[in-house]
Amino acid sequence: MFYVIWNRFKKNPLSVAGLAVIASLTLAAIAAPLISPHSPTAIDVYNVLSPPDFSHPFGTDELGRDVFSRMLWGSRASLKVGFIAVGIAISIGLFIGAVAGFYGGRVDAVLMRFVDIMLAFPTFFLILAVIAVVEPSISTIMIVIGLTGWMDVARLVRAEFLTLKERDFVSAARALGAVDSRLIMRHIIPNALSPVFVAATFGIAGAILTESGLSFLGLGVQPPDPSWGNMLTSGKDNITVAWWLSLFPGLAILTTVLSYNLVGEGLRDALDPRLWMGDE
Amino acid sequence: MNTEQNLLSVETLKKYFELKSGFGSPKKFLKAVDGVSFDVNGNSVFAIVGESGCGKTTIARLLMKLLDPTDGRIIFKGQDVSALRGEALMGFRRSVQIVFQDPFASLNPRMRIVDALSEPFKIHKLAPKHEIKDRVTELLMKVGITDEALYRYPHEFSGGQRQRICIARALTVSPSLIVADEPLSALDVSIQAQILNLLQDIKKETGIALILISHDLRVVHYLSDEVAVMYLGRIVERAKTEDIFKEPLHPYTHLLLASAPEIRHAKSANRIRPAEQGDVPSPVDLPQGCSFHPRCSKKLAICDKIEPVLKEKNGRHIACHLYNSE
Repeated sequence: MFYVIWNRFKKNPLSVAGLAVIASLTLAAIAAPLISPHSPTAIDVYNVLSPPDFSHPFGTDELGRDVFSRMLWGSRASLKVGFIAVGIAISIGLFIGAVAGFYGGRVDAVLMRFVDIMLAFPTFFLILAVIAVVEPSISTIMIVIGLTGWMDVARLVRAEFLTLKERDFVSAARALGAVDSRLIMRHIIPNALSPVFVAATFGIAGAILTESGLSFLGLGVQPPDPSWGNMLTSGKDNITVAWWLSLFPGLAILTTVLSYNLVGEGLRDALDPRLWMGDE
Repeated sequence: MNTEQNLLSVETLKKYFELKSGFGSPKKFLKAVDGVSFDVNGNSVFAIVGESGCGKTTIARLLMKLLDPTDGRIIFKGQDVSALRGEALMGFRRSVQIVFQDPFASLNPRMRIVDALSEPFKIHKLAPKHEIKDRVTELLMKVGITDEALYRYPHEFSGGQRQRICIARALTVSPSLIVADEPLSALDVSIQAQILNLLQDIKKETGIALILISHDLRVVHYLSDEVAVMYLGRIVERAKTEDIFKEPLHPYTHLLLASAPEIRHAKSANRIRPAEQGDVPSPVDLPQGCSFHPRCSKKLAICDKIEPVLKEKNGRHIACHLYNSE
């Protein structure tokens, strides 16, 4: 089954390229302590705002810190936020969507109105409001992004459940004595995961973007810890004299988000069951 | 009617589905099953025939306790099915199984055959863990599937093979009754015969009673002992299979028999063409009186006023004013 999906995924060269970018980025983030040429927080007052050269491939910032090393370490923040925030969002969304879709009726009505209320909040400002109260840190933003990002997943999962629970194989399992938890966990969820994977991939892109935005505004990862977002903040102040401070973190955000979106698109096509009947 | 002898007794079973209606307008109901009664004996085949939309599948789902009836009772082995809970319900689940119409929809696409067929053994703890695979293989052999199938997914099989697998799955719990809801209508004609024979063999070998729901009269004729003809949620005629096919009484049964495709001589061109007989009325707004009267060729004055009830006549049951008038 995995093989079939991969074969379908392979047909989209842009998605494969996206996957390659994500893979190398992830590897680089994991290996950051080993491969970064300088310490991301080491200040070098003799090399302030020096343009890219051999010892500093992406140049240095206003405190003489190596931009390349800071970006490597910053990618860890981005990826961590992306995965953990989406993990939280998926867990909540899967649970609420499954309960609403499976039990229907009043339970469904109450849960879905709750989803509507959550969706009515402008997410970014909700996050800003929360951060204003709680101390900004990487774990706070992961949790807040997760807690405000589950509604789409809940809706997707609920919609899948509504159709899947009426399918004959679920009826057959019920007729064979399967209890609700078994029906949900073994029969419905495995068949409802495809759109969730796709949503998760897009969700990671969104979470990375949100994290960058928050850090740019000074409400995310706090200096001196690097993040692509807060690097852009210092880049903005020096943009007329040091283009490399803004260009490289900006490009990193762009390519990462783009790659996740491309992979999401490829996954969506590869996982569409209407497309994969009959080709092995 | 002696309920003790019967494996299954259905008493004035009703299932109404409430339809969404706007504010203030009166509630409307779709009467999918409206007062159906019949008995099924062990080791017999009871067929329910009728056009699509007549409530056959709803009956199947009610019998499986996948739906709860609006009214009426289903008595299985002396117990009221709707009252079953806990262990008693699990016992019922082991005794009654279903084979659905569409073999493409009735197997979990993400489960290998071995997992799908092992599941009932695990749920009901029917065999020790190490024996389950052998039991599954054995069941698959019984329905004519080799053990190569074990580790494959449903999409790797043809419709006929899947239907065999579904039958094997129904047999996992050694039920005493199988409800087969149009088990052949999604299959090619050549495959239909094979599945039909398989059902016949299973019935002979195991003595499992079968409720065969079908619109195909040839299948019903071949397999069943007793037939109930349904029209818009009600049984209009019920009799032994040979009686129905030898001498259909109800005009609707006539219509059904006439519309069955058959290769005959040119003469058959003048038989009743069902298309000329109009469409089935909506089960939401049933016509007054006998619900068949708008299509009936032998309509009497009484037919659009009073609804006929199912009455016994010479060992047959029929709901028609033509036979009640004397």
